[in-house]
Amino acid sequence: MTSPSLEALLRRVRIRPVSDDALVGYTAEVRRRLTAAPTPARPRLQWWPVVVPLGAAALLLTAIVTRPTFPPTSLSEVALAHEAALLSVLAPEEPLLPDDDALLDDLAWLEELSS
Amino acid sequence: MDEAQLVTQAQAGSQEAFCELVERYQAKAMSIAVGLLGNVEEAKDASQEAFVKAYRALPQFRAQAQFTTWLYRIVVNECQTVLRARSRVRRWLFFPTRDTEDAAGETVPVLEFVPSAEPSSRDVASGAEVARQLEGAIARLSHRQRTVVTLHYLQEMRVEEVAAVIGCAPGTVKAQLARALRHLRAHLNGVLEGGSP
Repeated sequence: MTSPSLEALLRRVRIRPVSDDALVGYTAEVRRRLTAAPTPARPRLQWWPVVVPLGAAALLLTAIVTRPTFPPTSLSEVALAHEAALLSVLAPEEPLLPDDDALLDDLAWLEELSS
Repeated sequence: MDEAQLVTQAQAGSQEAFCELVERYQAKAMSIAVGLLGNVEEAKDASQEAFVKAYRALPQFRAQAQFTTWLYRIVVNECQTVLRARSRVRRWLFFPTRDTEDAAGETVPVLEFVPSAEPSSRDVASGAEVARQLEGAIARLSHRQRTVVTLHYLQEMRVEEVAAVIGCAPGTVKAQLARALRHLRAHLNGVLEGGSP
């Protein structure tokens, strides 16, 4: 055969016949698949149970590491600072009532006016 | 029992009748799948899956169409799914694998040369080589071109039958065949011009 045409070549080849061995159990397998319970849909991979806690942990870690005072102050220090802030409100530097001398002066002035 | 009766019974839910249809058409269905996938094990699995899908879709089957045409369309679709999945894997792996490799990665010939009435040993040897080269060239065609070449030349279906199976106009099949032949000629330059075998 010299310079055979492509179509002629294609007509000279064929798919190898399927052997009897390859077909052993073929129908039985189809029957098995037909009677088998339908395969449940594969559960979709849920990303949030993994990503959300990891993201939260990463944010917390970033916040801690980037704090101006690192490592963080102890809890007792925080409590003391809180207490001091409260006291500064309850006992401010300026006295809430005028001192006694000023009060006496005011009272004397009122007496003079009324006399 | 004839095919129409078996189909009617299978549509009514008879698995026995459907398995009779499987017995009748399993070799042809698997042969089509082998031609498209180039791998016997994958072809067996895909064609069996196609039968299962055909059984589940039987209520939608209308008797106007031929049962075999409808069945082969499901087989072709199932093979296309396998080929698409294979292409995706190949893209992700970044290296080409041949479609005609078996599970162990060894090349298994799918095509064979039909020898003349009294072939010489040289004819047989060169015929095997031509079949191997043709197989390689067909494997490099697009999925659609491979399908039309397999059905028309290797399964000896008429253009109209191929069109019915893949669900398009005969003219489209002819155009796909012409394009496929052009690609095959380009791949088989040496074989066609070198005078071998």
